[in-house]
Amino acid sequence: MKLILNLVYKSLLNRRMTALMIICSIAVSVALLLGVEKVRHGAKQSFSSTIAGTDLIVGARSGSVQLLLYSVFRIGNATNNVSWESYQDIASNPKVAWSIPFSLGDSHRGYRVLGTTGAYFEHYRYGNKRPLTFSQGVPFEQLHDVVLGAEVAKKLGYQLGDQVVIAHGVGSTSFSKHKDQPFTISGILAATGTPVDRTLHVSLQAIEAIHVDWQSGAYIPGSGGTTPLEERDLQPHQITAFLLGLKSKMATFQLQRYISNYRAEPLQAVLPGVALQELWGMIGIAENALLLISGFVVLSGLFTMLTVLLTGLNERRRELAILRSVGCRPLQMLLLLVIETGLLTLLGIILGMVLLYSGLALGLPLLEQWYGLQLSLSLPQFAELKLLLLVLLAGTLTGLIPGYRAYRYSLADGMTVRI
Amino acid sequence: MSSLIELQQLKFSWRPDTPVLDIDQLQIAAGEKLFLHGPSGCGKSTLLNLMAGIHQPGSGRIVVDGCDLSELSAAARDRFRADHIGLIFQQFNLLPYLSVQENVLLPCHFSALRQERACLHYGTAEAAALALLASLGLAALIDKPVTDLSIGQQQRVAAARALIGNPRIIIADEPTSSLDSDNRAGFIKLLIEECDQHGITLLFVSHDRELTKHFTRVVDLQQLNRAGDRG
Ligand SMILES: Nc1ncnc2c1ncn2[C@@H]1O[C@H](COP(=O)(O)OP(=O)(O)O)[C@@H](O)[C@H]1O
Ligand SMILES: [Mg+2]
Repeated sequence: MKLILNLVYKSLLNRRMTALMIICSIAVSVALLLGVEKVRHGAKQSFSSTIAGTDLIVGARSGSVQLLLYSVFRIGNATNNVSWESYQDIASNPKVAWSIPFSLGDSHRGYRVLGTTGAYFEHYRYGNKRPLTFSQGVPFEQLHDVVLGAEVAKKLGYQLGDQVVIAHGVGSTSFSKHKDQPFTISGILAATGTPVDRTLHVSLQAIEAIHVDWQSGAYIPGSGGTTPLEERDLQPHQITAFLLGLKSKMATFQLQRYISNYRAEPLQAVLPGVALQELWGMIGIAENALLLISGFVVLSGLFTMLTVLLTGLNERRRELAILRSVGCRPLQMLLLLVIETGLLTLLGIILGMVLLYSGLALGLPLLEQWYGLQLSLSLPQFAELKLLLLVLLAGTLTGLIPGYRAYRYSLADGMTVRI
Repeated sequence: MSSLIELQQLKFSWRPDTPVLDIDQLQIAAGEKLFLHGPSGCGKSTLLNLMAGIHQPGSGRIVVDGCDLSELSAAARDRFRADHIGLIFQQFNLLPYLSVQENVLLPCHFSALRQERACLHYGTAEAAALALLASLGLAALIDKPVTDLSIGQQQRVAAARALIGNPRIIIADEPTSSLDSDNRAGFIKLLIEECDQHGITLLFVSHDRELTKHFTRVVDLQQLNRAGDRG
């Protein structure tokens, strides 16, 4: 056995250019496979950690995915609102620990504006139950204060104290602006890699205030009366959705049922985890396609190895005949070729890992910056190890084909090689 | 007198209906230096392959050292060959990626018996290889890559490899045909000396009838082989 390993090693060293080629082609395909797997995993991870710590998301009755989309991902619009009374009623339920109201519908240069309360900065969690933190400034205090998500501030180049005008509606080209009431930036949140980064946060009262002079979708100055804002009751009449945190998780389903059967208006409550999973299932097809493609890349890497080895085998018939003449058995010859491909695959895998991890180390900051994709440089997970093992097995078994040819040659050629 | 190698009613063909070998009887005694000749394509190499147990005859018996090769399994024949037979080819005998010494030591790795016998005489297989190379005039080349050797030197290394661990038989298939005449005579002298010293039987194939004077017996395969008559 030691001898065979030694022979494999020296023979490969003798053919090092070819061997290197094979190793590189396997390395590239392995790096791609693992890279795709990592991105897939990372995308799923950062997707499912968009929201955490919230037990129920409540909104007007529609689909659970739709509710998730407009409340958490800030995509699309609610078809109906939730009345302030219902919100107050449910939020004061003894099982509820905290609640965060959401009022959506306005935007600023393509970024959504979220009306909420201070509870948002206190209770909203994402990722591994991480709270929101301020990179600069403080939560909104004055009526016309706004807190920016990290991306909004960065992309639009805003600083603390800058003035921001909010547009009515959610299109980036919306011309109807609440120009009369500019907002001042009081704080900027640290990056989270979630839709929070792309949101402007104001108080619920601010949302009411900017709509004072709006009558059924049109801005009519003075139509809201002449009472100064400071003296008005800016209590909202309705909100878009709200998040609930419960005192005990045990009560989740009970409260969910209670909300679904809420008598005053049709409401629904969804578990974020369940809705996230449902949504991921819908967009997960692309994910499988990616994996399939990288699987083919690995396959083509193995084919390269097979082609190169089979081509080289004819030139090695002499070598095999010599080995046979000094007592090497045909089965040992098969073993020789299988160990050779196994070794090449193993080296390819190792090089592929080195490629991938050095690539990741360089590229991670960029990925995070450009795509908000947070990948970790963690060691390969069990699933990835399983993939690698599969590649190794396939590569080793590939050796059976040239190995079998060598076996046949060694039986047929004997001592005299006939080409 | 019992013979070391005995062929009886041996028939062999590569393709059905075109027999290559048909030999009624051939006996080779232990210690003989046999010179086998015949025109190209008459089946000399095929015969050597049969006697080395690499191929199986279509019918008939090949008994080597009291062992009927056709009764052995393929694996047992492989082991038998590794233990008892040293082979030398026409050219390209050596693995280019091994050193001279590593090439010579190969049979000891595949056969415990030859390893044992090499150690018996010289202490270690490496010492045995060194001694053999020295007596073949190659002591200075021991650590060279074989690609640096001349063809004459390569054939002598191949001879050392066939000799190591004292096999019963050495089979040499035209080992001198790529050497010039000075080298040829020197090679054969050295090979026969070594075989004599260790009581090894030598089967030697060549076209070159001039070499017959070094051998104890000369066989013309064409006369022996009845298959050729019909073809
Ligand atoms: N592996 C083989 N497959 C088919 N035919 C073969 C093979 N080896 C040799 N032959 C045929 O057998 C005959 C004898 O060949 P060989 O024993 O090599 O002759 P020699 O060594 O005397 O020149 C030739 O006709 C040759 O074509
Ligand atoms: Mg021949």
